[in-house]
Amino acid sequence: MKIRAFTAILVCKVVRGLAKLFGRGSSLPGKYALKICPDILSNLKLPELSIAVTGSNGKTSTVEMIAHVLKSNGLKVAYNKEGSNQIEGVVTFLVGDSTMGGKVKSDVVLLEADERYSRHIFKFFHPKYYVINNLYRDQMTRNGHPEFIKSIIGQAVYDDMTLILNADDPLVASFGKDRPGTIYFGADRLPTDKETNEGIYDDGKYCPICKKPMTYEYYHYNHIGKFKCTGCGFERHATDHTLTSTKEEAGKASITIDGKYEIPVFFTGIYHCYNILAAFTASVTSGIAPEKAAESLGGYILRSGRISDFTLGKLDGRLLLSKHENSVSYDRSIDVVVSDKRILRRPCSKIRTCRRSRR
Amino acid sequence: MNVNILYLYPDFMSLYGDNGNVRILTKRLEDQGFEVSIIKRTITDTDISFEDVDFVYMGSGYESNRNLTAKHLAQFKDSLIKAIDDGVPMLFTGNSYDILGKGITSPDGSFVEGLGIFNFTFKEQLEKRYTGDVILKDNETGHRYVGFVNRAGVPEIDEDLIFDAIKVIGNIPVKKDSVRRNNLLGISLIGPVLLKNPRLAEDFVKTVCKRKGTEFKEIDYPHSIKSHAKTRKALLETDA
Repeated sequence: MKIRAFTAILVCKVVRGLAKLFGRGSSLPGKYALKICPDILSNLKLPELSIAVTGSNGKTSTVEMIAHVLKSNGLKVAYNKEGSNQIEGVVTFLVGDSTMGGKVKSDVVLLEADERYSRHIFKFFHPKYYVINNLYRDQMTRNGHPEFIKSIIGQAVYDDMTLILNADDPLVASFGKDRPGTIYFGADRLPTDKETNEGIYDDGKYCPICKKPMTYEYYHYNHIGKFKCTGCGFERHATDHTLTSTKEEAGKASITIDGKYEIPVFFTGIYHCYNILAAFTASVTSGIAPEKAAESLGGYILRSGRISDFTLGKLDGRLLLSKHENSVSYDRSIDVVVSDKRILRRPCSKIRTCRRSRR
Repeated sequence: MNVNILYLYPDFMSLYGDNGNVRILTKRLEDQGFEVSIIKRTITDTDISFEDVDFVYMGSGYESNRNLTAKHLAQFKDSLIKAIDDGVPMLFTGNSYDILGKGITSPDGSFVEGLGIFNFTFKEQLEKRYTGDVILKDNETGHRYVGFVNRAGVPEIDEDLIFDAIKVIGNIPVKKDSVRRNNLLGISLIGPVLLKNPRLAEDFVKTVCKRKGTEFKEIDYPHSIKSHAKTRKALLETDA
C-alpha cells in the first residue's frame, strides 16, 4: 500500500474520531483524505458484495430497506446512513469501516449514490450491483432534465456491473439495452392503473432510444407503465421480480411480490411499492432467500412506518414526505391522500408541505 | 374575431412549464375580446403551415429533441421565413431559439445544422448544466427581462445576439443573449416567461391587435407587474 493512502486513512480516521467526539458527523474526514490521496477509493479493498442505489426518488428508503434485510439475515453492512452521497461522504464512511490497511471490514458495502456524483465515485471502484429505481423531473432547474441525468448516470455504468432496473420506467430500462444479464423489476397491471396519461406533460410520449412515439397498454403513474416504441420496438422488458398485487382492506394493507410473497405495509402508495420491490430484488439478487427477504421487509416497514403516523387531538395523522420541485413525487403523495377513504369522510382543510433539506 | 396561436412541439419541447406562455397569451388575448384557437404541431406532423397564423410559440426541451426539431422544421423553413418577414409575432424560449441560428456544436463534436435565420451558433457540453437567474437588457428599448436559464451550451459565435446579460446569478458564462427579427423574439429564459415579464406579454398582444386592426385595450395585470418588479429588485440586490 502506498504511504499516501495509508496517511489518508489515518487522517480520515483521526478526524472522524474527533468529529464524533464533538458530536459532529460530516464528510469533512473524507475531504481531508481526498486532499492527501485523491484516488483513496481505489486503494480500499471492498468486499465481494457491493450494491449502489440511485434514482430521482426513494434512494434513502430503498437503501435502508436493503440494509435491514441484509443485516437481519446475518450480514455486516456498511452504508452511508447519513445520506452523505457525494464523494467526500462515501470516503468518510468507507474508510471509517476499513482497517488501517484499507480493507473494508463489512460483508457488504451499500451505497446511496447521487445521480450526479456517482460518475466521480465509480471511477475508483465499481459496485457489483447498480440499482436504478426511477428517473423523474427532479429539481430540474438545479439538477438538469431527466435525459441529462440519464447521460451522467450513464458515465457511471461500467461493463463489469450488473444493473438492476425498473422495467416500467422507459428511461431507466433503456440502460439495459444490449446488456444481457440485467435484472428487471416491475409491477403487473394494477386496479389503480390508467389507460391514458392525464398529466400536463408526458415523459413517456417518445422513445428514449429512437425518439419515435411510444404507446402504453397502461400507466401505473406518469410515464411508468407498460410501454412499447412504435419505431425501434423498445418495450417493457419481462421482469425477474414483480409486484403482482396490492391489497387494502379493513385497515390492513399488503403487497404481493412474485405471486407468493406477501408483505404487510402501511399503505399501498405506488412509489412506496416500487421502493420495496427494488429492495426485495436487490436483496434476492444478492443471495437472500426470497421468503426471508419478504419477512424482513414486512417487519421493517411496519416498524418504520409508524414513525410517520401521529395523532392530533382526536384525529389520526400521517406524514408524507415529498421533495419539493418534484411534481411526480408530489402527485403520488396527493394520490395517497385522495385515495384514503378515511380522509374522504372528513376532508382536511389544509395540506401542509414542508421542505426537506438535503446535504 | 379569431386569433390562431401555432404552438410548436408542445409535447416534444416542454420541460419547464413553458406551456404557461401559451396560457398567458391566450388569457390576455381573450381579455382583448378575441376568440383564441391553439393549433398544435409536433415532430410527427408532416405539414406545418405558418399561413393564417397570428402568433407562434416554441418552448425548451431535451437537447436531443431540439436537434430533431431543427431538422424537422427545416422542411417548413420557407413558410416560416415568410411569416417572420410578414411580421407575425413569434416567441422561442429556452434552448428552442438555438435552431434559428447557424447550428449547434454537440458534446461529441458533431454539428447540428440550424435554420440559418440568424448567424449565431451554440456549443454544448455534457459535464454540467449552466443554470441561474438572469436579467437581460434590451438596449434598443431599455426594457429588462427577468427569468431563469438552464442550458447545456454557451454561444460560440454571438453574432445577432442583442440583449446584454446585466445580471447573472449562477454559473452561466454569457454576456449576450436573445435574437430579434421583426416581431420574432428568441430568448434563453425558461418557463412562463410571459408571466414573469408582463411587458413582453403586453408587447406581443399589442402587435397582434395592430395586425388584426383592432384597438388595444389597456388592461391592468397587477399581480404580474408586482411580481416582475419584486423579482427584478431582488435580483439586482443579490450579489452574483
